Amino acid sequence: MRRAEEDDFHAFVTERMDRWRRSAYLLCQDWHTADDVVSVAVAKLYRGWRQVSRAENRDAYAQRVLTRSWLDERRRPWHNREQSRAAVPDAAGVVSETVTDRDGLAALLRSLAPKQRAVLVLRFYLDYSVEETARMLGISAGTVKSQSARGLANLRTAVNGQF
Amino acid sequence: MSHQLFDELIGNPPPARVDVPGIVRRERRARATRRLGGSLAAVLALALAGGVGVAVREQDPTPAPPPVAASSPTPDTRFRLVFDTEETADATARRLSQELDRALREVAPGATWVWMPEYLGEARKPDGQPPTFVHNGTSDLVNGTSGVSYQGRKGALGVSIAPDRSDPDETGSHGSCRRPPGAQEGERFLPGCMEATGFHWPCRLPPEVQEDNRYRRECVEGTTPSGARTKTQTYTGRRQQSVQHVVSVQLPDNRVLEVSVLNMVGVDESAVPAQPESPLSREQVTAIARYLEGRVKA
Repeated sequence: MRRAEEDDFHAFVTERMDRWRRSAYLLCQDWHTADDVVSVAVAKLYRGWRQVSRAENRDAYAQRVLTRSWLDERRRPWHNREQSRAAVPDAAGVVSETVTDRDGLAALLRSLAPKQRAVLVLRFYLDYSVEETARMLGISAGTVKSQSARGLANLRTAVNGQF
Repeated sequence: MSHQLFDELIGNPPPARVDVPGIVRRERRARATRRLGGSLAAVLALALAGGVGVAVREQDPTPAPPPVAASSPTPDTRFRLVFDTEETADATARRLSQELDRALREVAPGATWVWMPEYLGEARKPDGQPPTFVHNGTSDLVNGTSGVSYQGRKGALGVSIAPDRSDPDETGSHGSCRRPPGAQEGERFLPGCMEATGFHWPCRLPPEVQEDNRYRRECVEGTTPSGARTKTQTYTGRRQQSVQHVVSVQLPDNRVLEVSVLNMVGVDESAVPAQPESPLSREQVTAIARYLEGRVKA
């Protein structure tokens, strides 16, 4: 990698580090794991920096790498005894019908399968569109819509219809 | 408004542990190693084509064992888990891969490593490669996993070594560090309290932790002949017929070894049980864990 590319890489990473850590934390709710996931993503971005720098939307590319790094981590045998499903499960976990505080939101996120959780974070915290979220997660736009439906309902209740 | 709720959940982030310069150094070194490997292969091919004999011996990445006293009947070939620099962490990771390969051959003769994708769409890699262990720089955590095939059964075999800072006098409590609601039993670390707690050795769950009703869990506590604590768990998925054996063994220097075998193959939504049973039995997983434990010295 040339010096100018290295400088560009470091500037890109430094500028987005806080945002990446925050989104990683929302996915796993553990700062140690969040930093590990961000580290893995940074290594992948460095490895493929020429491809990243040519991407039409570098932010979205990097966020996709980060989100998929977390999903990969969840697939490790010791993390994932039973695989997540793309479809909304029939019965959700024990979560309050309304999310009115941080504990409620934390419980809601934990109750979701990893990809569903990623959908909520990408859509409602990072403000990616349905189509962008679908591309990042490798699922259809329809799946993004259906997976976010329950979370959106809860969140809408929490913020009095501000979505 | 929604961002405010998310930001409240995030709170004040602690100082970042993401070592970007270290990551860049490791990636540069790995790239150089790959280039060197290609160059050596080219040199070897040229030498063979020219009829020149070249002897290549793979170097053991671990430091040479200390000199053995003359009275000692056999040399001590065990190794230490050293993570104090990136180089020693690399060497430890490579040695673990070699030892796991030996363990599998000894415990399950005829078993083979089979490629299993790390992510959807990954280019096919050759079978027969033991897992590459990865570590987080100089962090005291290393893990590796690969597909495995034995007597017609397939699945994933994984090994991890992590710090265990549990109080040896503690018999089940997590002390003042509570597992947050919703955290699953079996996770090695309690979010936010890894430094203070470590591995939970008793089969009985802490009072604040609910049994994960997606799985039927069988658990046996024990000790090895050398006195190390063990925990052997089998998780049977109620919905997806997943079967996983997880054997945890206490290692010297406050570490915990986990060996895990799972009957699932594939990634994400494409992952399915390859067959109703795991590729290796619980006894075989235990034997692999014991083998690895016996290879590590304080």
